[in-house]
Amino acid sequence: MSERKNASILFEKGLITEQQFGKIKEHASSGIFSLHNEIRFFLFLSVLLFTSGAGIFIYNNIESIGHVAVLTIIFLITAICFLYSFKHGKGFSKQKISSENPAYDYLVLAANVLLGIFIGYAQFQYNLFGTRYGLATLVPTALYFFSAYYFDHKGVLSLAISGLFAAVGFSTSPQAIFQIHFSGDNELGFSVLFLGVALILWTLYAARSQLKEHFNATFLNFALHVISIIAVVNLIEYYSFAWFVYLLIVAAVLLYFIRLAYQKASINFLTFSLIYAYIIFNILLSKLISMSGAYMFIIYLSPFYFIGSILFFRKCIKDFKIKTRNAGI
Amino acid sequence: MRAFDQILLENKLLLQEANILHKGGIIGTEQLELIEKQLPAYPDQNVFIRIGLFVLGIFLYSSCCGLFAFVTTVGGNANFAWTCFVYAAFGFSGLELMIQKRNYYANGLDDAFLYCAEFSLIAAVGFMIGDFEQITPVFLFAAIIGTLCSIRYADRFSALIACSGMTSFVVSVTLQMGDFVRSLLPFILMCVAVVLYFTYKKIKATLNYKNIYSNCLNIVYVFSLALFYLGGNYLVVREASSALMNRYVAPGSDISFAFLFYAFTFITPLAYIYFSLVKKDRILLWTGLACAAFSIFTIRYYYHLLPTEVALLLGGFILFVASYYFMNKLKGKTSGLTFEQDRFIETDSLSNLEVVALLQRYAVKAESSDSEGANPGGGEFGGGGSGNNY
Repeated sequence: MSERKNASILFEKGLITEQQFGKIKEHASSGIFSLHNEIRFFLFLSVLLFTSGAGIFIYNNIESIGHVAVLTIIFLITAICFLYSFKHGKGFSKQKISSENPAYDYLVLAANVLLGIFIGYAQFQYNLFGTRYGLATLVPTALYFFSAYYFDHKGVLSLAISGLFAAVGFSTSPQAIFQIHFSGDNELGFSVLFLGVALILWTLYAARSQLKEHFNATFLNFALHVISIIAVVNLIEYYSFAWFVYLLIVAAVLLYFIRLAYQKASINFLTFSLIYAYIIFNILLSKLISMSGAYMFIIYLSPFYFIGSILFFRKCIKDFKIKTRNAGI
Repeated sequence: MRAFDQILLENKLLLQEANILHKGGIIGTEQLELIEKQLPAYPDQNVFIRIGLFVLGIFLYSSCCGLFAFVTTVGGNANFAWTCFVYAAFGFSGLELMIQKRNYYANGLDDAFLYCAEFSLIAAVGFMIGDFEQITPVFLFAAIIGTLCSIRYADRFSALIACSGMTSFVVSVTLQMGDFVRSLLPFILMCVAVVLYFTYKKIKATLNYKNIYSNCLNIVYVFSLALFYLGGNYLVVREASSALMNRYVAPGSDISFAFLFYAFTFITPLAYIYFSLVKKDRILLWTGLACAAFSIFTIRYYYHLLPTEVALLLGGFILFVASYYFMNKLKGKTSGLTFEQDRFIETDSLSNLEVVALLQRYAVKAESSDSEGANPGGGEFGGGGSGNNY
């Protein structure tokens, strides 16, 4: 394949050995064209399409004849997916399980999503959990957690975590996050903060007891983004006792994540922590300016302020690269 | 002719290759570090940092321009053309300084300045003409600016400006012609696409080893493919002819040459996919798949053959069975088309995207205590419009 042209330049410059270059040439001459990613994408898409169809179907055809029959069929499909997963799964393990068959991963996913739809439908139509709405969220969440840990599935795990946040009243779909607005509901805000911190503590426990350590990245990502976003939304608003609590907690969390980024040499954690920290710093700054009323200075000083910020970020990244490189060797 | 240091950029590409080889298990960590030491290069920027610096760069640029406007336009001076020229001059000189003095290349900051400067320059020309009826030369100018910038800065976005400027120029000229020429617009656009494609081929063949421009060239490639497809797409032709030429399509009648456009709508994506598999061309494959998705959308836009939910259920099922079949068929093959992983291709970013898509669709929604139709677990009511895609 022509894409390995650069490898031959590396070889000409004497930076890779002849043996290594031979391997590359052998790989190129086999004419391999891997459709792995493409087929996986299609499997994922098929699950998404099918489950969306099932979701709409159930709600659109509630009154019609044959509704129950179709429900039964979809329920049977769910059951078959689960049976297949249990049969072909390798059972629970504390370590990462890698399956040879990608279709298996997507069947697990389909089974869980369909199950969630069913529980939702049962609550909607038959009031399965009555008015205990918390329970209606926690039951699927618990099932998701079980599936995620049993079948080792990152996607289902993220659904489970979203369920935890939903139980305290916070939606974590990307769209909902973008449309988040200040509600002044401190009970909600603090429960989200608390839950986020709990997720971080859980990763510490999981790391110590080596329980599915590869899940930690998912937990930490949720914690970082959700804590920072809820804090940013609340910090923009008024001052009160709660305001300082948000500031303290988010500052502590961001510091923790920056330290973690250095430890794990993870540039993504560093970048997002810095971005959120910068946003929060600007919120504080704008509050200061609006208190002092020195608006005219903004126009004259802002170019210098941005140059300063850019140089500061460059320095942070450089420092990070040097330190993590040394730590890596 | 080039603003950047060619050797530094070439080395950057070589280092990227070395990293791929490292991940593919061909070379060890020590060797990778040795190569990094021997090849001084522009640093490879993490995408999020690049976006962050890009946003900061935009802030910096606009705050500087704001300061300038604040100082100069106090007396009610409203000569936007000259103001825009000053902005553009500021952008380009800042950009040159950054690249040459500080080695900021493709790190987000220079991107911000480049884009802003280009837009300012194009806007300046627009204000100079000052007549919205006479917008055609602006498109031509945009095409020229885009081309020059993509040569000087090897930048993808400039290549896109060049391509779309040229296309808009052709469209704009065609629309000023007589009725007959105007009705040929789809075919003219397809010709433009073919010309672009052969230009791409020609440049690629002449540059050969110097692949510092491969990013720009890939943009031209995808643009030409997409333009060819969209030029012949039934939906685009029909909607464009009613929007641009005020041709109303009465119920029961159809646009002229309808059968031809239907044929293009179906055959083009299939041809793309077929040739991508024959030529082992991944860019062509994904473009073909995107075109195929748009073809399905086109059909569903005019003909509701099946209710959305049934189409989704059936489509999902068929897609799953087909993928499963091909997966098993291609498993374990060591040459040609295969399902085995290529050691030089990553899978991480795809699985991360899957998680985001999954959360968007099925994140458990928070309950409000009085909500009717509470549907925890994600049974999305009404399907959120995404159902149209199949």
